[in-house]
Amino acid sequence: MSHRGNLLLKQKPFKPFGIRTVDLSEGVPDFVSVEGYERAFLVLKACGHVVDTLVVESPDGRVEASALIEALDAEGRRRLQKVLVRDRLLSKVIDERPALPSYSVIVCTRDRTQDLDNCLQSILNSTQGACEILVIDNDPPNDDTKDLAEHYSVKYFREMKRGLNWARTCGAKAATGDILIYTDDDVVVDAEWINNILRPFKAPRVAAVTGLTLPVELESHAQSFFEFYGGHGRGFERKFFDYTVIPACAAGLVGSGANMAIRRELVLKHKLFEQELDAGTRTLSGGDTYAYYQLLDAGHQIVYEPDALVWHRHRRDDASLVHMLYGYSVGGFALLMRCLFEHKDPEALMVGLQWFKQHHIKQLWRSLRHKPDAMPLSMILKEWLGAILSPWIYMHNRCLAAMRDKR
Amino acid sequence: MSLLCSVVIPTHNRSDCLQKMLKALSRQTLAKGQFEVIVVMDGCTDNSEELLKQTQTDFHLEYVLQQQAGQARARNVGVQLAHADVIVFLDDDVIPEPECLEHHLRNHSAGNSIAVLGQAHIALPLHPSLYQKVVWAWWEDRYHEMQQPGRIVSYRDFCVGNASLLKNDFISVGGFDESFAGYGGEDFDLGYRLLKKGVVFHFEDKAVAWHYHETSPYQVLKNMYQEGMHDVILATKYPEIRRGLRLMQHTQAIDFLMQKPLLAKGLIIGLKPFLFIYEALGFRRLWRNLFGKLRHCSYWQGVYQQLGSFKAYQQFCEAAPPIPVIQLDLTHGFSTEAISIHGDGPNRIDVWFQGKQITSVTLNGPMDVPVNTAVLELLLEQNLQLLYQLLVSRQENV
Repeated sequence: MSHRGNLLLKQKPFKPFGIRTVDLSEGVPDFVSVEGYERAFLVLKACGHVVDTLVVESPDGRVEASALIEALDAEGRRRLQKVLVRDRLLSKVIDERPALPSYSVIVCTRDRTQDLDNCLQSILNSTQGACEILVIDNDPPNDDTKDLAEHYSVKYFREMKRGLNWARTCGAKAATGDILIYTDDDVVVDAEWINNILRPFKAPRVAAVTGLTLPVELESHAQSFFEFYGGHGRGFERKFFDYTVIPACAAGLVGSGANMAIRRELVLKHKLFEQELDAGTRTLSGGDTYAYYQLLDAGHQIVYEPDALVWHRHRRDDASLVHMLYGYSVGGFALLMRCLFEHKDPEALMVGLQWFKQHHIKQLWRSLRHKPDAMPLSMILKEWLGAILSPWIYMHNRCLAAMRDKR
Repeated sequence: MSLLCSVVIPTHNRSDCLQKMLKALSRQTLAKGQFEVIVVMDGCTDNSEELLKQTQTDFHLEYVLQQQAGQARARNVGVQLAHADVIVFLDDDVIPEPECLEHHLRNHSAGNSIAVLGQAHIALPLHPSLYQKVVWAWWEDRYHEMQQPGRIVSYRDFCVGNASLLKNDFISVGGFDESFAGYGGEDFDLGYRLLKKGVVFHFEDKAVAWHYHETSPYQVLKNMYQEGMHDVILATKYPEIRRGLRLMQHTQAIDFLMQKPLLAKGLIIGLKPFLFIYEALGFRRLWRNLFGKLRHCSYWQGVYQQLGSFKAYQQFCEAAPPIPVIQLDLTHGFSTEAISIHGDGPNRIDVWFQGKQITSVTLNGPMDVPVNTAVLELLLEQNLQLLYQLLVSRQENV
């Protein structure tokens, strides 16, 4: 959570943030130009790694070196120093690039051709040589996506069952690579994305890899709000998750489904995405988290690899932001109910209570006490609504499924 | 067709495994005339002998029954009967893939003094128990680490469940030490003597076998107990490896339990059933903590059993040789061959930069990652500021 960003958000009227990438490998530049913006969201890179992101004011459309250094906190400084020292010390070592496993990139989309166009372009730029790219068109209202896909050397599939998870399953069955790399249509991927997301799979125990997701634009209040209140990022250091590190049902900590890679054999063996979950269904979210849960529960390891970078376009309008936060609450608690009742996992109870206490109650408390960087009350209430309705939605779903089975 | 290798399999009352094993061997891609199989029945009282008598194989099969005397003895007997130059050791519950023998032999074709270590994977079921997850993760991580470039080879890499070596090497180091009874220990001991003799350990990830035998948490506790005993034997035979053994890393709690052996025994027996209770209730964390502690306790019980008293243990620790010191110069950066440390046990590493000693760190062995990586991570963790000032900040203004 970016404290500085939250404070800036409170100032009315809202002013957009200019996003710039700053390379610090050769030292801090004298200034960073963010022309046309009074605020900057700086992505700091060094030696090919993202080390931190900063929110700074840029009154004349530029950020001076001194302002940048001042905004960098101790943690960010430490990461930067680590990257630089490692680079100096290891420069003599020839980086043996081991053979990467075979892979397929799967893009699930629904009626967003402009975004999909950008996304496919960036994926093609990030691959060397031939690579299998699958576009899964989920319950399409027209042929636009199909027409677009024909312009690229990609395989086009249509999944008529509506729901992101069905599209993911369709992709898994059609793909031929050993590793499935999933992404959504509203992202643009980094040039080294594919190499970096594949590298951790050298270790046999790694079942899935998730990456860092940064905003591609912060033009509206909703987008900035989402980013500063957590966003999709999970920090700038590599993390290894398995059931010994976190309770399996806290799988949401692992990363987001817009930037993940999973071994295909495991997707098929555990039927990871063959549930009615996630976008386009009643639970609204949680398909990726449930997949992570099943992997962690089965003893596998999931790696968060910040070098695998994609740029995501967050929802622009406040209404869909609020709906999404509501969806996260519904999906999150529905997942915990599922862990508790279907997998008989008592840890779900603990994780659920903890989440409710540390997020829902805490945010409400902060808002009522008028803390300067508190969430708006309307959003908090919507999250509470999601949390309260979630068990009923889950039960309703289960009854429907039971009735379907009976028939 | 000439005989290329002899497969030696010791077995003890596991005729079902043995049957699977014989089937797997008849499916080998290696030509049937090129290998022979020698099964040594170590005090078998089940139908293993009848099974071997009845089985028709298209490879040469020999078997011998001995009075129960442990795996070490059984393998030594097997090697005595072998006719080929290369010996492949397989455990009776380690079922080889069809190409397994071929990949072992491919590495021996030059006739060099090497030991080829294959993999013995555990198949993870769809819904594994906590114990199965732990064991699976342990083996997978271990094989992955063994393949890391720049890793220092340890005698503890020599696991004899799926391994091959030259018969001459085996005989010249004196074979297995038959004083190791029960589970394990004898392979580490042989591995140590092989390394001393200059035999190179080659890790072959294509020589794959599958470990089928079901063990249980209780069995692991028993094995840990024996590992404790065996570590004492190893440390007595080879004092130079003493510092690297777990039995040197004692804490106050361990010292206390060593002085109250009956209490320790009672704790183990009393707490063991909780493993099942916790698993049934789904309390993973509690289960993992308890399992770790019980394994630890069992190991120390074994150490105590072998040494006889706490006093003997204290003397044993005091007699350990000093920690070796290694010099590392970072002036020209870090290269993969920069450091060679004494593989097993802690090493003190004095770090130099442009003719000045900047720091010293202690690495605890045996290594589970390449030494370079371990040293670098330690330095980054403990001396980041210092290194940064030396290496980077002079040129830059961050």
